[in-house]
Amino acid sequence: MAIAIKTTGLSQSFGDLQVIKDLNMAIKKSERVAFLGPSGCGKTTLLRCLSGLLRDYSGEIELHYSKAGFVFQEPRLIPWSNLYNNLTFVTQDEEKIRRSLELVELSKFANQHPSKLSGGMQQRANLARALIVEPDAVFFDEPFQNLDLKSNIKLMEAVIRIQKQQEWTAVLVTHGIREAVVFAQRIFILSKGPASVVKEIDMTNEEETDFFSPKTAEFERLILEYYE
Amino acid sequence: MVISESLIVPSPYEVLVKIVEEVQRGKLLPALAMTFLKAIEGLGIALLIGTPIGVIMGISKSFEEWIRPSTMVLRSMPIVSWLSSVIVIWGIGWQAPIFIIVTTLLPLIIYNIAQGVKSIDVKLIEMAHVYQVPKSRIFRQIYMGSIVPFLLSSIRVSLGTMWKVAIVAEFMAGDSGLGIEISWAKFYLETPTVFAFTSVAVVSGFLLEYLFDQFISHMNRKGYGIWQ
Repeated sequence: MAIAIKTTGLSQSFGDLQVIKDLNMAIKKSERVAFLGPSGCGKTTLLRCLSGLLRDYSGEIELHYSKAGFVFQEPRLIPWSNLYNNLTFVTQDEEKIRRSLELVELSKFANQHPSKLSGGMQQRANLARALIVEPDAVFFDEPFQNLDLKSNIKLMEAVIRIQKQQEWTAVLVTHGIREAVVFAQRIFILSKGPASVVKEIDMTNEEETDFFSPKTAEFERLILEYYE
Repeated sequence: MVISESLIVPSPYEVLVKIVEEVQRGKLLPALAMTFLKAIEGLGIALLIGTPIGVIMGISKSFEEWIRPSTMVLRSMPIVSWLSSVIVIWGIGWQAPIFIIVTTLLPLIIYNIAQGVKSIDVKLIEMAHVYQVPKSRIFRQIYMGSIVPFLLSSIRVSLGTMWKVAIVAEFMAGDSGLGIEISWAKFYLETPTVFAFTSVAVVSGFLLEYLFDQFISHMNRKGYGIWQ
């Protein structure tokens, strides 16, 4: 399968602080991958490099996608605009807005302001905004982190369902092992920092994992061995 | 010599009777309307001038440095000093109270708006850059939206100040309104009339602030979250 993103010897430093060190990996098109690492290991910086937001790295990054969506850790919705106007902020195309709201099952809430939406709904709105640009790659910066389990499951199901329909490449960074196992077809375990890949786990041949399956718990145990 | 008590502190009953008399004579309500009109005009002009200056001051550090001395002068200049200059320029009339209200409210509005612009959530700006939102839309939806709570806070504080300043300016250099009526009543030693007009001024000022607070609560209940 064609490559969507490839890094060779990727390194990134801020002053004397090295955040990413000699990171090599490749992500296939339409693949769901997760970068799993402890807090502060450089995951968000890596995501910014891969999504083209940070460009002053050393090494090489090949980006074979044209449009990217970004699902932030916090919803970053404009508090004084209703959901619909939050999306018109990104595009004026009403049809695209309608489609994205339908995809994340928020059509009924288009006139609501963010303060009237639950945390999970706000994150689905965050996802809707990423989908509106009709991306071929979507980057997820720990969007599941501040949600309760029920909202977490609902958002995860929405992401996987839409990704399977639209076949964009999905890149998640997280420190949640279970989230990574449920989300990804391939998991890259990162070192404590500076970030580099210490282990790659291919999960494409595994039966589907959800938050409660025994297989998920098994993977959690396996990953914990590599997890610093 | 016997001085009547009502010459110094009239009873509430006397004041109430006087209010009714002044309403019947057709003096109180037109005076109240004139003061209100001048106060609102002054506030409107101060907002029209102060808002753009405040926005530029919030965005540009060099503009802030340049304009700061002028706003400091405006802030510390006593009302009576303005009055003497204004009387020389325009004489007694409606211009003096409006001018005094504008100069009193202007620094307050400028600083509040500048503070609003400075407190803009940088994460929203970053989100806008990720989605390559045009600058004009960022200005309209994020910058203008961010200053609304500060604009409302300026109006809230201005309501009380403008009312007091309008009456003082009318008292000293006006030709109509509550201030001039109080001045005439004082001149003829009609203390109950002074108290009657003063009571109406106090109640009207209180009512203005109350109605404004009710408006904000109503907007907040609707989920706009504009009062922070």
